[in-house]
Formats: sequence, C-alpha cells, structure tokens
Amino acid sequence: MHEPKVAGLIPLKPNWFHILLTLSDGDRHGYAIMKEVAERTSGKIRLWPATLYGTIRRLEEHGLLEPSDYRDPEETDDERRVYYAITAFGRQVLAAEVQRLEELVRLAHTKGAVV
Amino acid sequence: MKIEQDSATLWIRRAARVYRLCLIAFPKAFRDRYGKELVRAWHDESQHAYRLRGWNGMAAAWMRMFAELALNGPRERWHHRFQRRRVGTRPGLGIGGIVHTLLQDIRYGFRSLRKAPAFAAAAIVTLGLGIGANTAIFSVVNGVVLRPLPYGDPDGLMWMSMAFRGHDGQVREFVASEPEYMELRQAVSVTEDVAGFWTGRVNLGGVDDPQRVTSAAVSANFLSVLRVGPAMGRGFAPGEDRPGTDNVILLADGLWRRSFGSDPDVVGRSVLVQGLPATVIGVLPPSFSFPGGEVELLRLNIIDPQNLAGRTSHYISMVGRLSEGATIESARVEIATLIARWSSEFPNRHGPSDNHPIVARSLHERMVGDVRPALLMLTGAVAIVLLIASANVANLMLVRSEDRHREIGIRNALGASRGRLVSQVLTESSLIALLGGAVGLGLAVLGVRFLVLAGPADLPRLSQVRIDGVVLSFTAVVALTSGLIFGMIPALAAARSNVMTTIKEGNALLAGGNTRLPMRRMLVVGEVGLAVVLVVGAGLLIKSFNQLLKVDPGFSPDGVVTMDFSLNAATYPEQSDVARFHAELVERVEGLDGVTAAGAIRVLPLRGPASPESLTLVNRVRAEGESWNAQFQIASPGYFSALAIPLLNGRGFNTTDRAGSLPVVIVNETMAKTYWPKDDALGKQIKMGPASGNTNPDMTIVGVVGDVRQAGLGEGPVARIFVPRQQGGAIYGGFATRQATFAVRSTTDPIATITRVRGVIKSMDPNLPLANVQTMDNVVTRSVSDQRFLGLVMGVFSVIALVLGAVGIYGLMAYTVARRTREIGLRIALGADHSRVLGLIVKQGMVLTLVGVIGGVGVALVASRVVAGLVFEVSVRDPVVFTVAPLALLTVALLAAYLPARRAAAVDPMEAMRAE
Repeated sequence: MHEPKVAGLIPLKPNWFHILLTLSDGDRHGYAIMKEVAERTSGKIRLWPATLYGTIRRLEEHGLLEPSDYRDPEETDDERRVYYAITAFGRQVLAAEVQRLEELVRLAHTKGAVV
Repeated sequence: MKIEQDSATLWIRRAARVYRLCLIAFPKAFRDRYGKELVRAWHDESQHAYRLRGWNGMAAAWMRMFAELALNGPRERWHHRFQRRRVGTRPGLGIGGIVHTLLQDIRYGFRSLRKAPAFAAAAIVTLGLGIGANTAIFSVVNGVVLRPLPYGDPDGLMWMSMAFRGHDGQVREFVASEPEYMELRQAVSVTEDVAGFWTGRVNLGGVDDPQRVTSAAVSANFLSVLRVGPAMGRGFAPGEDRPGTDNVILLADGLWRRSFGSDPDVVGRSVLVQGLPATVIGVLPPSFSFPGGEVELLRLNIIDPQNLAGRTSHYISMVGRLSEGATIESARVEIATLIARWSSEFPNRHGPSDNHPIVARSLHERMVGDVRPALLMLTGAVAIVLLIASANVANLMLVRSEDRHREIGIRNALGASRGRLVSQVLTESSLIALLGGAVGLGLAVLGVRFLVLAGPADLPRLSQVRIDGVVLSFTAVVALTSGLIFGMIPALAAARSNVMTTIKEGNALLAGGNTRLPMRRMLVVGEVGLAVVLVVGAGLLIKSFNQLLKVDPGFSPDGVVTMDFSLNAATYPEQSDVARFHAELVERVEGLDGVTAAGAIRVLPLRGPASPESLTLVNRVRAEGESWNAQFQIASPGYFSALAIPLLNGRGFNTTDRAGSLPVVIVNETMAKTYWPKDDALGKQIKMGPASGNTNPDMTIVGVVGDVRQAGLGEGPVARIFVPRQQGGAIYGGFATRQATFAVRSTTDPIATITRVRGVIKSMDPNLPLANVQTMDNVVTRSVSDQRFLGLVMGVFSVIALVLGAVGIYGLMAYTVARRTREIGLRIALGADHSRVLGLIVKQGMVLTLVGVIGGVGVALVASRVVAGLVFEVSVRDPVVFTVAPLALLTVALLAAYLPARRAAAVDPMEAMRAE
C-alpha cells in the first residue's frame, strides 16, 4: 500500500539516509544521532542542531520516524531528551534506498568502472 | 583547569540563553515541538567542542550553530506558511502563491524605499558603517585567531621552551641547548616527535640578485612534525640533519616566485647559502606559514649526536607533536620528571635558583595568544558601533512607521491581515539590512586592505587575512540579525495598530505626546552611552601611545642610519678576517663627509631583546635565591657614540680591546646598580656562565653606560653587558660576531648617507647583501606600530560612534520639532520669545545626552578594565580621558540639537496654525 509513497521518496537525501540508518539498530535521542552520524562518516557529514531537527521534522511528517518511549538507562535521564524510532514505513524506505545504491554499485562493477 | 572548566560552563549557559532567544527565527509550532531538544543539543555540542578543542573549538561550534540556525529558521517559517496555505486556511495558493506574495512584498519594499530616498540612504549608510567595521575586524579575528593553523591536525602541536628567571624576578621564555633538546626528545614519551629550529637571516647567492632572506635552520623531522608536505620536490629525509650530509634547502612559495621566477625546474638547482653551495630540494606550499615569524628559506640545523654543543649554548626553539590521544597536561607531567632529573644531574644549571623549567603550551596559543586581548577589545568596539548603528536605524524606522501609521491602519481596515502587514515591514527591514550589508561588505574590502597594510608587522598570520566564505556568512548573519532586531520594533508596532485610533490620531490637535517617543528617547540615550564608552576606550589608548612616544629611549635616533649584514664563513673563514672587514668599514665610513660616528651592535635597540645569559660575579658569594644574569651584547668601539648612548663612568671601547688583550666589558646603569648597589662597578670582574666548572675568562668592567630600551619603549630596566666585538668571538663563538647591525651617525641627509655607506660596502664586498636598511627614527616608529595601530583603529571607531550618536540626536530633535510645529507656533503666538523656544528644544536634547553620558561614563569606568593590559603608564580611570570624552559627546550633541532648535525658533505662528 505504501509502494507509490516509497518510490516518491527515493533517492533519499544524504541527511535522511544517515538519520534512518542510525535509528535502524535502536532508538536514539537527537544529540546521539548527531554524534553517531559524525563518527560513522569520520566527520564528513555533520548535522548541526537546527538542521538535524529540521530534518527530523520532515521525516516525522513523512511518517519515517516517530518519538519513542525508550529511555537509555545509562544516560542521566533528562526530560528534554526525546528519543526517536524508525517506523515500519521508514524501514521500507531505507531498504529501498539501499537496494537502489546496491544496483548502482553493481552497475558500476559490470561496466568495469571500479576495479 | 577546574576554574577554566567552570567558566566554560558558565559561558555555555549564557550563550544557551542567547541561542534560546534566537529560536524566535523558527515558527512557534516548531519551537514548541523541538525547542527544548535544540537547546539540549546546543549544550551537548558546546561541551563536546570545549573538551575537544578548548575555547577556540567552542567558539567555532557556536558560530556554526548560530549560522545554521539563521539559515534554517526562515526555511522552517517558509515551510510552515506553505503547509498552512496547503490545508486551505488562507487564500492564495501553493508555492506559486507564496513566491508571488514574497515578490510583491519585495517590490513593495523597494518602492517604498525609493519613495523615501533620504530615509533609505541614511539607514543603509549607517548600517553599512556598522556592518563594514564588524566584517573588517572579524576577518582579522578569523584569519589570525579562528582559522586553524595551516598544519596537519594542528591541535596536536605543542610549543616547548625553556623558562628563564631574570634578575628582576620576571620569567621569560627562552630557547634550549642541544643536549636539552635531544634529551627532551627521548624523555617525553607522549610526543611522537619534537622538532627543533632557530631562525635568522642568511645570505642567498647564486641568484640574479644576492640578498639576505629570512631563514630557519630546522631538524630533519620538522615538516613531518607539522604534517606539511612540499608543493614540489621532497622534504628533508630522516637523518639528513647529521654531519657529513649534503647541504640542501627548501624554498617558501614567496621566495620561489620572487627570486626564482616561479621556475618549475627549480628542484635540483644549486645556489649559495652563506657563501656555501646548497641544492634546492623542494618548494613549500603557498599556505605554509612558519610557526615563529616569517621564513623564506628552510635549511637543516646540523647536530652531531656524538659531539653536542654545551648545555649553556641555547639556541633551539621546539615544536612537539603529541601522540594520538595525549594531552599537553600529560606532557607537562613527563617534563616535570625530566626537570627533576636534570636538577640533580646538573645542580649548577637546573638547580633550585636557576631551574630553567620547560614550558609547554599549545602552538596555537603561542602564535596568537599575545594578540588575543587586543583583538577581543576591537571586536567589542565594533560590536558597539553596530549596536549604535542599529539603534539609529531602529529610530529611523520608528519615525517612518509613525508617518505610515495611517497608511497601515487603512490597509488593515481594507482587510490586510496582521501577518501580512508585519511581513511587509520585516521585508522592508531585511531589504535595508541586505543593502546595508552590501555597502558594509564594500567598506570591509577597503577596511581589510587598510588593516593588512597598516597592521603591525609582527601580527601573526596577518597576510592570511582576507574576506572568505566564513567572513561572508558572518556578514550575512550580522546583517540579517541586525535587520531582525531593528525591524522587530516597528513590525510589532504595525501589528498592534488599531484601525480606529490610527485614523483618529491624524486629527489629534497636539501631536507632541506620542506613544513611541519614550522608546525613541531610550534608543538615543543608549546610543550616547555606548559612544561614550568607545570614545573613552580610544582616548585611553591614544593617551597611552603618546606616553610611549614620550619615553626617552636612552639614545638619540636623529641622523642615524642602520643596516644588517652577516659575513659568510666561506669568504671570511677566520675571526681575524671578520675583524679586518669591520675595522676597514668603520675607517672608510667615518671618513665620509658629515659622518660623526659608526659602529656595530649585535641586536639593535628596539628590535627585540638581546639574549639572556647566566653570569658569575668573580670573588662574590651568591646569596640564597639570588640569580646572576644579564642580557648579552657585542658592540664595537664606535657604537655608543653612533647612537649617542651616554658614558656615565669609566671609558668606552677602543681599538686596543682586541683578541688576546685583557678581556674587558661595559655594563649598563641597571647592571651596575643591581649588582653593586653601594660600590663602584668599575674594576669589578665578571664572567659568562654559572660559577662551577667555568673556564671562561674573567672580564674587567671598564665602563658604565646609560640604560637603553631594548625590547620596546615600554620595557622596564634590564641589566645588560657589552663585550667588545674583537673579544666577543672568543667568548661567545664565532657566529655571534659574524652578524651585526651597523649604525652610522651623520649630519647629512640620512637617505644620502645610506647610499654612500652602501657604496662603501659594495666596493669592499660586492656580494654582501644588506637587510633592514633604515633610519633609526624608522626603527623607533616601527617599535610602536602595535600601539599606533590600536589607537588609530579605535580612534576611527569612536569617530564613527560620535557621528552616529550625533545623527541620532539630530534625528530625534528634528522629528520632535516637526511634530510640535503647531504647538511651537502657538507658544510663539502667545508671546514666547524665540530664544526661549530655542533654549527649550536644546535643553531637551541635552538632557537626553546628559543621561546617556552619565550612564556611559558609569559603564566605561567598569569596562575600561579590558584595556588595562594594553595601555602604558595610563590609569584605566585616567581623569583627563574621562573628562574629555564626555565633553566631546556633549559638544557634538549641542550642535546636533541646535540645528533643529534654530528651525523651531524660526517657526512662523500663522503658517504653523494653518498647516494641519
């Protein structure tokens, strides 16, 4: 049922992709997303707060993520922290994007562009 | 460290408050939903940046976050509007609708600005001045302080030096000896490596124009420690700095372009450095900047690990690369252990009284730490200029919004929504802000050019100051923020406007009691107060500069010309060759018409401190805690007369003070008073170096000369000794006498003297390059260039502030007069005479000014502490400055209030009554 909507969101913007990827293995709060994206990309992609929450707002609007009740037990609990979780639809979109990227890479290999 | 952290936390909290306020840029719905999280993320990121990179890192993160907020806010607002339209709460539709509305607003804004050209020009120019000054100063701050050093991972670099406690108890940074450097490299395990270097000038020959160029002799690991690679060719190879290797050099980009015509085949070319053949192995990238001043040529500092120079021969500066994850703190711990070991191994050199601890601090701190206070002060000053400018424009906008009150009321009545009215006013103020920003950018381009030219030569990285992307974003943020601030007041006024009252207001009989006047008065009072603060700051700095110029340097610069040269070991292998050259030079130059004296000195006064050395007072027992040291100079017989330094006692040097004759020394007044306070210093003996195991010859004091300011005009008294040139080599090593500054006093025109002296030198050695050829007057002028620069820039800012303040007062008074024309006409008709009306208006203006001045003086009394470290022999509460500055403001304000008052007094009662 989501099929047409998924297609409409592909290709994903890099920021969207990285946020969804970060949430794919567990719920996190905004700053944790910021940090993980920066670490994973060795600082190449940095989401500063206003950009991050602007993107989160869009992702929420498209139903790709949602607030979660999860709290990190190790984190000193701060009521200002809101945790986010990827939705089932978000996973579909992420999977579709990964598939698209895989196809691209395969294409490049068959053309011999990458050795 | 703890205190640092606490103050960082405090600043993070303060800045978070500002950040929270700035969230106003986002639509309310967004703020409600994400505001708290945003502030939380701000805290986290600030702390993270501070932990990682200290204050600089945090400041950089803040700038990014503010800039990014300024970009995203409007985007969210746009989206918000778009969404609301899409759900159909408003007419006018889709993206086309919004673009249409926005374009309409912009067109409307332009049209209304065109209809009020005087208002538009005043607002744009005022804002342009404020933004221009901010952009110019910010580009300096950005280039000098904020931009990371041009090395790989610059945060891992650490400056290390020996510290040296002078006889006056002051600790000065000092260079290391070969054994100290080599042991330090071994001992500090948290560093990957430590590079050593020393800088100076060398003679570069084998090129079209033989010249003296700035150079650094570095260890082979120097570039790898900095993580800089050559743009062409190769860097130095490990072990290349050992004896018996080839003489190889690297060129800086500037030298390669200037003296090698950007030759792409320069690698492998052979040149002469200090008269010896050397091969060019590479060219450094244009972005390269040497950590300790400008350097055009890199060569190797050859150290023989089997045969190190003595521990007393200090000449090496050090830069260390911290290992991954290590901190300067951990390096300091290891250094402390090393010093403890040294103090037991070499009690004489590193004992409790001398100690010579090693100082380690970040390279960035070392390179820009000294200029930070001055730049911070200038940043504060330009921020004040911008505040005054914004207040002025807000005032102008308020006048305008009052003029347009009826128009807005009517549009409101015709069905324009409040949002639409506010957005129109905001569009107009954004237009003004952007145009002001453009004017400011133009002014900043000129300003930066001026700052780079006029800035003190020793300001680090000044050549890298330019308007780049960071500066442009800064300007944009400043312009839009100020636009938002000064646009907000009239916008809110527009939103509040009520149809009935605005239309009725037009019929009000006496319009003097206007609701927005209090706000406008407050703005003017604030402007005046801020202007006072700036004028006081500038006054203190200018007075300090004057004090500095009044200082007696201890010599007379009139009619003296100076030049540096160094005699190559290749051409002048023996000390006797050097001596012969000097003797002939002096003889021939003194034979020139008008020349009264000529002589050489190792480090010319006002060109920096001479090297500090430990001493032994012969036949004296050192008291506990007493340290014996003095700065060391090498002078030729004619030097003291050439600079007219007075001989207070005994004799000067003469030609019989040569190698082999009785070693003699001249001391300065401070030296004599410090070590022989009750005795005559003449005839006493001293020797270089610490007491035990000292084989240096005893030197007999034969003369006492007056004190000379060596490191700068503001320098306090420092003990100094002078050794005759011909004996200096034996005591201090040959290289010390090879380089010298030659000073010539003459009664003829200095420029002509320079030409003639050059001629003499050329005829003696056509290949000997000269450097720093200048008059002694010029040396004095250059030595105070920092202070002149600060005074000048602050002076310019305070003049701008004065003018803007005056414009503010004038604007308000002119406006008041215009609004009260009918009332004034009535008063005159009822018999008030013209001088009373004049007095009334002037008094009103002056009362406002006085309130501002009093407030400003109060603020200045507190704020002037920030210049405490920048002024010389001026109290930060100097009564003269604190009298003159308010008087200047009052005078300007009097003029600004008088002009509209005169117009008021000239009101014709009949005309005034008819006017409405």
